Amino acid sequence: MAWGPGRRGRRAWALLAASVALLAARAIRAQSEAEDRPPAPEVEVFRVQAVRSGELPDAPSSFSSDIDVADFAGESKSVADLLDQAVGVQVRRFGGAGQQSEVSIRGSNGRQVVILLDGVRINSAQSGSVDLSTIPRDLIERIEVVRGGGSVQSGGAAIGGVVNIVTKQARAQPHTSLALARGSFETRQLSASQTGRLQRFDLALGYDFFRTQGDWTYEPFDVVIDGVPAPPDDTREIERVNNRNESHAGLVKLGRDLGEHLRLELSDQLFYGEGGRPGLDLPEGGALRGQSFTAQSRRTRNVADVSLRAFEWAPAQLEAKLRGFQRFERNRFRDATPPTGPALDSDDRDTTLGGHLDFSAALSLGPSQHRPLLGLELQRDALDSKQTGEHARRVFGFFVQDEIGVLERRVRIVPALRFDDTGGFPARWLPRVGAILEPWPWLRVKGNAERTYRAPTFNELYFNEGSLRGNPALRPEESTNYDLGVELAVAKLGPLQAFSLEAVACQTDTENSIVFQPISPNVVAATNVSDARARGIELSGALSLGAWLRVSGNWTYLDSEIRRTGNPLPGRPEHEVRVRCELGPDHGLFKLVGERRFTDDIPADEGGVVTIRGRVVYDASGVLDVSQIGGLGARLGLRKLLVSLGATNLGDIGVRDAQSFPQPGRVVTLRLEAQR
Amino acid sequence: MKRRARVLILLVASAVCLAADFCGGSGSRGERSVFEASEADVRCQSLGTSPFPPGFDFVPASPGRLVALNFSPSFVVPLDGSGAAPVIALAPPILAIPDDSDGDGVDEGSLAQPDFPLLDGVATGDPALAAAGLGLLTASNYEQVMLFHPSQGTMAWIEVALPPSARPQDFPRIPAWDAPALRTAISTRVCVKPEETLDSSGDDYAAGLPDFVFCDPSWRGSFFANFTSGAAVAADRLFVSMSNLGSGAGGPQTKFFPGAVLVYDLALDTDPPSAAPHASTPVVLTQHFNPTQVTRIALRGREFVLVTLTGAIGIQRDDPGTPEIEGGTTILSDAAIEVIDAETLSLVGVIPLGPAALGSDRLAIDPSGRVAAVGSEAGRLLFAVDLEPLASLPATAPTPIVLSDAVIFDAYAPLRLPARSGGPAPATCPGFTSGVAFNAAGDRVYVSERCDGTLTTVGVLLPADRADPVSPSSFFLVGSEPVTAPLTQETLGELRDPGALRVRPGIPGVDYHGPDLFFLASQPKASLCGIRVESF
Repeated sequence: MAWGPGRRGRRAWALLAASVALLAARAIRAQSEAEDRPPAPEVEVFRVQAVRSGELPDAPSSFSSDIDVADFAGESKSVADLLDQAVGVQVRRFGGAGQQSEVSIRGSNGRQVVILLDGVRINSAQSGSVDLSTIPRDLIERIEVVRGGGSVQSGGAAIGGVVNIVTKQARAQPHTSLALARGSFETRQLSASQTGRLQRFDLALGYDFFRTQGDWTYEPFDVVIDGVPAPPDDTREIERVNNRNESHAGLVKLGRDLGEHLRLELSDQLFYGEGGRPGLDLPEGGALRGQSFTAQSRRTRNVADVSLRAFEWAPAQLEAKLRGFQRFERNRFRDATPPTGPALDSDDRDTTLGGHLDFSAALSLGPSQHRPLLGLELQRDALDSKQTGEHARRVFGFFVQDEIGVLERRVRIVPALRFDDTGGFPARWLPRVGAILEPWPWLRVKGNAERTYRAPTFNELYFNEGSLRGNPALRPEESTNYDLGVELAVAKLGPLQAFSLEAVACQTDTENSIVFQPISPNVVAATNVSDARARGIELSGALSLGAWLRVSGNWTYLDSEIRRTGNPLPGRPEHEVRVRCELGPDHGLFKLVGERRFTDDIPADEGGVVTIRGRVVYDASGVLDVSQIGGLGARLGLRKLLVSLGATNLGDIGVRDAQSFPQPGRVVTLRLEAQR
Repeated sequence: MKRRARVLILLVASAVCLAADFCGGSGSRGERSVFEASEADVRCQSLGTSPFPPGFDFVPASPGRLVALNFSPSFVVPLDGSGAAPVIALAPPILAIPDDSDGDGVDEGSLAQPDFPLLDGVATGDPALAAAGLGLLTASNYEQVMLFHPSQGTMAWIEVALPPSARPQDFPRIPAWDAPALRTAISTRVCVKPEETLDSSGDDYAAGLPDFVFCDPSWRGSFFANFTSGAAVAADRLFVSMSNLGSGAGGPQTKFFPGAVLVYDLALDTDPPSAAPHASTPVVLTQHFNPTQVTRIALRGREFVLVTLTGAIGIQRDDPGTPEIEGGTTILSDAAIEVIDAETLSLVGVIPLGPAALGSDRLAIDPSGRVAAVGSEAGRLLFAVDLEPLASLPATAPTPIVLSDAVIFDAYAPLRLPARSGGPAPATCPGFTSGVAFNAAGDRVYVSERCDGTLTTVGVLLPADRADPVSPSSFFLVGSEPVTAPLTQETLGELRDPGALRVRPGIPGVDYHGPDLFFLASQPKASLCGIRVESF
């Protein structure tokens, strides 16, 4: 199929984008002004590590992780790989690089995690989830993960938590970044970004190009039935066919101060991707396991928003933000000759238009300090789809929160309440209470209890394709989340430096979970099923040994079950362990990284009958800052010139993820990154 | 080590990887990913990692031994049903259908041959098959009937060739008459040439189509048979039912092309065994639509093939005006059992059963051979026919004789089975009586129902004199018990959806102990379950 531009056109487009970025860099540098903009609210960083536990201003009692992309400079990690570093977070992959992946927090599914792009929700109202492969890593600055709820500020669907992806910000300070990467299976990537001052505007520009042939090979999986191994019918390796992917992403941001306490910001972020979709690995599908040679998809997403922010109004340090946003998403899928059944052709357009109005302040009332937060939001979701039809609904939300501090803020209580009204469902109140106890600066105890919910997606309500059906009578999922934990941080403990530890126990009780299941021998439909419970322990820690060695790791334990049967929830392994070692001087010449990822057996069905055996995967990379060699950086006018070589799945083992999708074996990537 | 040397090593390593296309791995080191299936129930044995098992059957001359099919991966699983619960037999090994399932040297599911077989059913019990130690596996998509050795767990080779009179283009995957070849399957991709080109909705499906779209351009309306459903061996011939789906699959208005039963001459006692499309009658066209099964019977020294015609069926459209999701079956044309004389290959009889949506498992024949029973895909219903009138059928008939007096229960007067309290809403799952089987004594017939997860026992009292007709009062409800959870939204993950049913050969408590009744459960994953009804 001749979708997308030709090869020559793609190269020209990439070169043009890089040229524009460099030209803009010169223009912006010539007009740069030294004045500092008031910074956006910073994450209160508890300790300095690659993945930090912290305190987000709007969710101070929540357990959160802050991932600074700059800490992974030179490493070829995607957004999915970065999220996988965080405790309590599991990423489900449906293929290799460029293929769909989604995030799960504390045993949730992808529809139960709210993904924000600079504070704008990008979850599709049609499917409810976000494909992480549509977010290019080189255009983001950091990722904030709030575990366990977040519905008060973010609205419905935040049963597992909230992920806020913060992209390159418009800044006056000029900064140019250019990255090139080449990897296994003909993978190529080019990204360029520029911030600085243009006329009276702070500017951020960014472009990312990604392409892969994706023709990796894998082995069929073995089947063992009650200890009896079934013979593999063939030991040949299977090539992933029709797995080419190409994407382009762009970012434009403008910011301007309108007076001393007012700032206007405009942003537009565009993603376009197209490629083949070979489909599930079907063991009965013959030599190529039923892969589709002809299925193609094309995805487009645009997120535009304009915000007016007022800040630091004395005496209460009042801040207000008025924001309007629009998200448009179009997904096209065609397969003229599927392995079975008639030709497929879908074209879905999914739009959200909305606005927020938030107020916050900081004030004292007698012996107590308060940080009240008020928010109002209104949005309209609309879908135009062949399989699902035309549908629309409005969502209205209002929330109020206060952070009450006493005893010099050593004790803080954070009550919050949200009123949420999603069209077609009863309006509801969502309460939340959090507490923070900080007896010493190095110790913090936190706990939360929250009620949250998720309204069914348009697909769950209205999808209709023969024997697969939505259910207009679905009830929303309802959930109660609890967590309690402790955060410890010590600057120096004997030979250990920057030692930190976080231990959390959590529980999520979900009622009316929505699952597609057979309701008759003819039809599979979306249904509300019996209650589910997920209990977990999250343990994460980090330390530095001298100036050269940094070790971090986390263990996530998850005991999930369907209450009626006691069977585990499918797709949730009981144990996941991540360990990362970094060797090299801090901000120095080189960095060597070794990582070990352990994933326990994964239950593959609701009956507790099938499991996918666990695995251990090793990754490694080396980054060298060539700009520090022989004054090269100064001669080239570069702040950094990073050359890195990395490999994931060093052992080249067979890996299966979500629904038995095969993953590539060893992937090696060479990357060159320049910053000025 | 000097910095320059370190950089050089890095660059050399990079160059090596560049040359090797970045050292991309194949994911082939270490242990392969393993999918592990465990017992779903103490009385049941998992068959694999997918739901909806296609079928199972007993292995003749191997007491207590069964073979059951798993859909994905495509396995033939050997089981021992002698114990308290069925277990996977230690021998023979599980048979995995090879990529080259028909042994023609070309892998299916490849660029050279994109279609691949989807298992549909298994048959081992016909006497000729049992004597040759063979079993049949029907498969659709890559249409064929595969042969295997149930006792050895291996594919079986058979020499296949066209008869000299055959038009090769009508049998594109069968070797020419002068170049017979060994295969492990007999292709059912056969050009069917009906006289009338009316589909199940009464439309002329050939209207307005150019000649080149037909499998024989000189025969308007000819089409390649599809959806291999059932297979049986009678009179040294292989009979294969072909549903011939037209369009609209998965919807309320599914259309079917004229039904067909393919006929192959078989020689199973030669070495190697051989098969060839029958020279003069390779295809028997049916009068009703959607043949889903063929069953061999012997009556008064004659062999007949009973063809189950389910009739055109579709999936019920959801009614947005009701709170439930409609998930039943839409009946689009009448059902029937049609009778082929296995010797003359003439369609000699038709037993009309009305809008019944007959079940697609084998007809259950009582031990005396007097009655045949079958379930329904559209209700908690049992249908039955008297086979005695077949004895008077002629060897050939220009038009098949309608045997209305053979009807015991039909769509207009079925045997209704009780619903389970707490079962699914009637509009959502109105009933699917999938499995039907007579007990060894012939005084009970068991019926499984997929929506409720029940096993209903129906008493049978047949007249002693075969000259006396069998009336509906010969059948009476005895009881109904749950054997799995019902198909409701709360029971996700539990054992449910019981289907095909078989009674173990022999006299329970005399010839064997242990379960006497076996059934397939589709969910959560395929399982074979055994229960004691009369056995101890």
